[in-house]
Amino acid sequence: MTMEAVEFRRLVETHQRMVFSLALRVTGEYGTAEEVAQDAFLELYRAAERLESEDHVRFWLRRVTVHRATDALRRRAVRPEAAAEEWIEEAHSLGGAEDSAAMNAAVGARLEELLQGLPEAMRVAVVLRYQEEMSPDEIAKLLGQPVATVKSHLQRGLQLLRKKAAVTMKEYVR
Amino acid sequence: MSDQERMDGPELVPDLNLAEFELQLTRAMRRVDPPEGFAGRVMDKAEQTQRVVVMRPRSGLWRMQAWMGGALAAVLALGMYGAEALHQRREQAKADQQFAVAVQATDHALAQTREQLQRAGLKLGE
Repeated sequence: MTMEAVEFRRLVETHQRMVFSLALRVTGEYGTAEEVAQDAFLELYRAAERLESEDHVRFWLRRVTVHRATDALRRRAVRPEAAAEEWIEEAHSLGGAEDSAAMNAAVGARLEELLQGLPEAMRVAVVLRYQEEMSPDEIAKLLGQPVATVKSHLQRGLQLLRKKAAVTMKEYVR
Repeated sequence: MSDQERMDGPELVPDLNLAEFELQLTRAMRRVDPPEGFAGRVMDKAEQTQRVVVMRPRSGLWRMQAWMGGALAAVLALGMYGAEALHQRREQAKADQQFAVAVQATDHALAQTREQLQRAGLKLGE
């Protein structure tokens, strides 16, 4: 195994959770997320010489993953709102959770599902904000969008999520 | 993003605490592990990519062979031009030699004629 391969394996192992989680939350589908994550790392393998630092690698991986994931989403041409609506009906029939850990897990799972109901641009902004804990400025730089646009997506995305959560999760949150 | 920025706009769900909701959202969006063997599969694919890269010099070899073909053609053309020039030079030397022999024969004939005339009592140039 060459040194380059050793270094590449280290980068994969360091960033695989970030890349896979981003891909999963944007695409909402496990198999597609793995394909997207693999593609992002293979692109990294080909572009590694141009990347100057660990921060640069992280920034680059986030950007490529988000782009590849949104491409995959468009190719799949699924109407996310439909999936969310289906879930909302299903959620009304669920019983309450017994303890707080179970409640948190249930709320988390529901929020993940609600996320898939958000329009693509809002979903990407929300994932980068709450999964990667990036500021609106950093998100804007990553996506190549104006900061105002990112803030608007975040605000509207959060409002939509809260609205849907209020409808479907009142029993958990209260 | 400040709380004020997040609070901008109508409060759609007043009974859900915003901070608590964001906390839930952050918890829900913790990074997850990729499927087992993910890194290995990426490494396998990268290795396949590398094999393709390693095979690429073949195209370089083809390019070099094309250059060599061009160079060979140029050498052949130069050689043919050189051979033609050499042939012409040889023909020229042959013609020069023939001319010299002809001049020599003419000189010899003239000398004989002059001798016969002298013997007959005539002097040329008088």
